[in-house]
Amino acid sequence: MIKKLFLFAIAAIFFASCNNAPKDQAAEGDQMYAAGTEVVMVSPDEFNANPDAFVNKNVVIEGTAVHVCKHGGKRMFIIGTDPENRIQIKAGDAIASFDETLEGSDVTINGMVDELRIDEAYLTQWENELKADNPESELKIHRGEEGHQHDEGDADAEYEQIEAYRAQLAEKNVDHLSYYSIIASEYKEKK
Amino acid sequence: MKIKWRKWNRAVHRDVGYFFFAMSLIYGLSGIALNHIGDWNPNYIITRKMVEVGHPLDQEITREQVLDLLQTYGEADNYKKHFMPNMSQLKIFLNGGSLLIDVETGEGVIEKISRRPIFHAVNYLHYNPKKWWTWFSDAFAGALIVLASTGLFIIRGRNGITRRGAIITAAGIIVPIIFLLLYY
Repeated sequence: MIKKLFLFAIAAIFFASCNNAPKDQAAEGDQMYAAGTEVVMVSPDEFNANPDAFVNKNVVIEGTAVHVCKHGGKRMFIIGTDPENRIQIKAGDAIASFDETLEGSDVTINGMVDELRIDEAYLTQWENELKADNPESELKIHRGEEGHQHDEGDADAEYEQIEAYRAQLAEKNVDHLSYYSIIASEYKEKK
Repeated sequence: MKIKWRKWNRAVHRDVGYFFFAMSLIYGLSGIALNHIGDWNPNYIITRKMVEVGHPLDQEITREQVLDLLQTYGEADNYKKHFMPNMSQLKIFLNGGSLLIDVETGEGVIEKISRRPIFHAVNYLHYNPKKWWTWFSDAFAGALIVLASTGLFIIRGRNGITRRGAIITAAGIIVPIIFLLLYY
């Protein structure tokens, strides 16, 4: 009896791990956000037109997932009608990772808009981390463009990226550049 | 009455060890997998196949034309969506992969992706997917401390913690200390 139970447990673990059907993170309840929370419904195009207006606000946004980062799935990029304007979605604490199979699907995301300010101090710190041979620097900026994964772990590509940001700061004559992302607390794939 | 603490120590070590056997495998496997995340993709098996359409493609390509194109590679039934990420590339999303084509040269690559058996599941658990899992993994972390501590006192005599066990335990303590002295 005990032997049968043990074998059954091993088999159950194996079959569970081979299940290829991804589950929505919001599947446990269809409600995308808690009652009473102020949430702004926004389209990707509205968001891209004036992202600053949504900083630190809870938004629900729907777009097409065009890229999920291959390593860890902690980032996803969605688009609206303009494919060149990608919105970065980061997995919040409640989301283990975004599934790769989301690429090409329409997704609804609930999350908080975050602003990343890149100034000379940020770039210097990033550069110092590269010099210290830190391949997993949190300061690295992910834009999710096609083919970017080929530059993963390539320090030279990151130095080039830093210099490009410096050039942008000088060209625009500003003290910082702003990049916006949404830290997702829930997401749902539209079937 | 004298408490038979060694008997209790063995019983705790044995039963906690039984209960957290599966968790030890889950975190052991995912730990190795994620330690080497820079060297491989522990979650997915990705295969790439170069394709050649043989002619440039229209930037205003229609869904029907995309489906015709996919027919050539036996992927028409897997079509999800397509878009132009930039002026020179067409990306077609498939169930279980994608096709990226340079519209000027007609050269492309089909990327097929599938979950890596066992590893995708254990890595998912490693990333603490739900609150209650975090509590369970906290319990496992506490249990590791219990297992390590009780394990020291299982054996008595020549191979026990006062003789051979002490040397091996000290060796295991020295390794992280050396690392901290060198790099911390």
